[in-house]
Amino acid sequence: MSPNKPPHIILLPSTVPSTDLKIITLPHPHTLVPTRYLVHPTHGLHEIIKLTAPTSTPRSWLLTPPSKLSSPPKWLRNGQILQDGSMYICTLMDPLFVLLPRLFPTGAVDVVNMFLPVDDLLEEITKGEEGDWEFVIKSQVTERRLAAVCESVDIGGRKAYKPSREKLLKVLHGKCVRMARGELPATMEEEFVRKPLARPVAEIMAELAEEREGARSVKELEDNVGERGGVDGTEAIRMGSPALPTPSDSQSRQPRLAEASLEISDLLRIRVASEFISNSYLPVCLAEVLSDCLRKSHDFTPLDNYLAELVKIRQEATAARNDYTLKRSHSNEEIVDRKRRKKEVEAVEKKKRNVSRAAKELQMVDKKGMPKLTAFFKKKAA
Amino acid sequence: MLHKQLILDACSYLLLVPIKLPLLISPVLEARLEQAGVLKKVVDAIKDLVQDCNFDCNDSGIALQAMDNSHVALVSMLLKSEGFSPYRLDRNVALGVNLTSLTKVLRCAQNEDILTLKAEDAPDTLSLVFENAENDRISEYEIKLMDIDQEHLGIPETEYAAAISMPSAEFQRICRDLNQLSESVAIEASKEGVKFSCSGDIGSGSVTLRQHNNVDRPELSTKIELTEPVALTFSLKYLVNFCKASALSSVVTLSLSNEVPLLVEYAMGSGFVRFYLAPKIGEEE
Repeated sequence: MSPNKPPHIILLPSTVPSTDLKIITLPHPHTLVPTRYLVHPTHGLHEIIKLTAPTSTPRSWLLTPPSKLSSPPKWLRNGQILQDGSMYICTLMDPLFVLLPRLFPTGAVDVVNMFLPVDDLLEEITKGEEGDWEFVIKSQVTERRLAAVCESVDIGGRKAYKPSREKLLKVLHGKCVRMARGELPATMEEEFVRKPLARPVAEIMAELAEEREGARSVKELEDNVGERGGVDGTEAIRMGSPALPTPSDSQSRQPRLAEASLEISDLLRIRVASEFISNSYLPVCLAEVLSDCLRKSHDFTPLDNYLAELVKIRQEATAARNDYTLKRSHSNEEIVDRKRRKKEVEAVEKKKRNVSRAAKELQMVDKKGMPKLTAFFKKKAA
Repeated sequence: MLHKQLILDACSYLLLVPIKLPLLISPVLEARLEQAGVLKKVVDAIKDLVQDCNFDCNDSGIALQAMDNSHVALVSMLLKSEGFSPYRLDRNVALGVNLTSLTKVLRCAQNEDILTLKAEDAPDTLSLVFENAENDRISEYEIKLMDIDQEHLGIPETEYAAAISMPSAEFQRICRDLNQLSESVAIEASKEGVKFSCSGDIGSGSVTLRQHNNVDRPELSTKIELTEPVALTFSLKYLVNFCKASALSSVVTLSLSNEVPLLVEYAMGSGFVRFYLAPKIGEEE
């Protein structure tokens, strides 16, 4: 590593040995923009994801030699600070994805419509394309993955392949379903499954309030019984009975929309998975084919109905937020906080209003070339 | 006999108490100014440059130092303790005042009124009493004070290359006239005189004052003390603003040195108002 080039922090899967690694450039399957990938002859292709700290919280790296290691790498010396706080993460990637735009280009006619041996097939599809394809071709993983999306025949002991859209769809469909099985990765699950399916808070709060109301009316009834019980028990019950929740009341306490069923969330997960794969790894034409395929194999109507209902309820909840009762439910602190902020804004405005015309004119003077007086007079110690 | 004496002692002691109480809450500052007009004019001269500032009261008098919002101009004011009669101060106090509020209260005073400033220890308010001797009227006002965090600049004693004293009305007229043509004025001082020149969109103009001595009315003389020629450019809007202090004194002194802030001084009988303004540097046209 050259001494004047700062190192990059790259996180590798522990299974991959750090020798024989190569960073190559291939067109991205979705955008076709040349993108860097990490490749290992036996472990296959890895995609490189750059994690950058947000500009609002800048970060940097402090590298120190591990104390146990007697001889730290030469470039590290006694430690180093990297101004760039980004990190590169390498994750295993199906080499199939980078080949897809070549194997199944836009348009119905495939490039290769006859059976070819692996080497010829790969050469055929990468011919005239930019990028370090030889590393992909050489990898053993590639042939296995290629076989999964091709029909094959035996020709004199050698296998020959022909790309097959049907097989491809099966593979992609399988990927979606596998990704959606169980739960998605935590952040995706939260953002794309739980949040879209969450019922509005106001609705839940209204339910809770109703429950409390119900509990109180029962308590009132009990009190009444206690007071009058000594006189005439039956009358007390008759007097108190209007307070009893009627059957129709308890019916209305049922939530208008039940929590999303397992079926609905599973459907949403499959949809999210397919969208993720389509947007990250598939050329547009294949993404369309995949979503068609999924629509055929799964019935998304319950999910769509549920989401439509949610949208309606949310709109109602927003409208209801202007309601007086909801305003009252703000916490005391919030009110105090808001009042204080209002006061501050008013104070600033008042101050602005109090400035005279002459003072305003002075503020508009072009001060170009006029140094501040602090440049001439030094501050006195307080 | 002894008992009677004790009781008498106690009585006299009791009598003393109500007399002592007003002394306990007597103000830390009490400054009486024969003419309210002086303070009125001082505040009027400053209030457009600075909005809030501290009046620092110490043995030498009541002082004020503040920069304008853009920190290109500074005003330094002193009302010497000799100007007040009496001037009583127990402890140094800083009175943080909003000048707009102070102007409002001072408008309630006539120029000939006797003005008394009073403040307690660690004061929340400054009280102003205006007495009119002619019609035996006493007005009392209080204005709320504020905590102002102000940094003070140390202004070194400077030997200026040129010191021009001239009638303040003349300086005001020149600034106002040139302000119509341009944003900035070049002041050139040489042995022959001092030249104020400007050029703007509609044209250019200049006013030259030669040194002359008016024996009958010395305040109308123009004097130039020069060690070396000076030429500097300043913002006219600021100078026009400084000229609001013309009511304080019939004579104004401009002190200039190259690459140093201009000093515009209005001297009063017992005090001064000084304005400092940063020159325009590196904008030769």
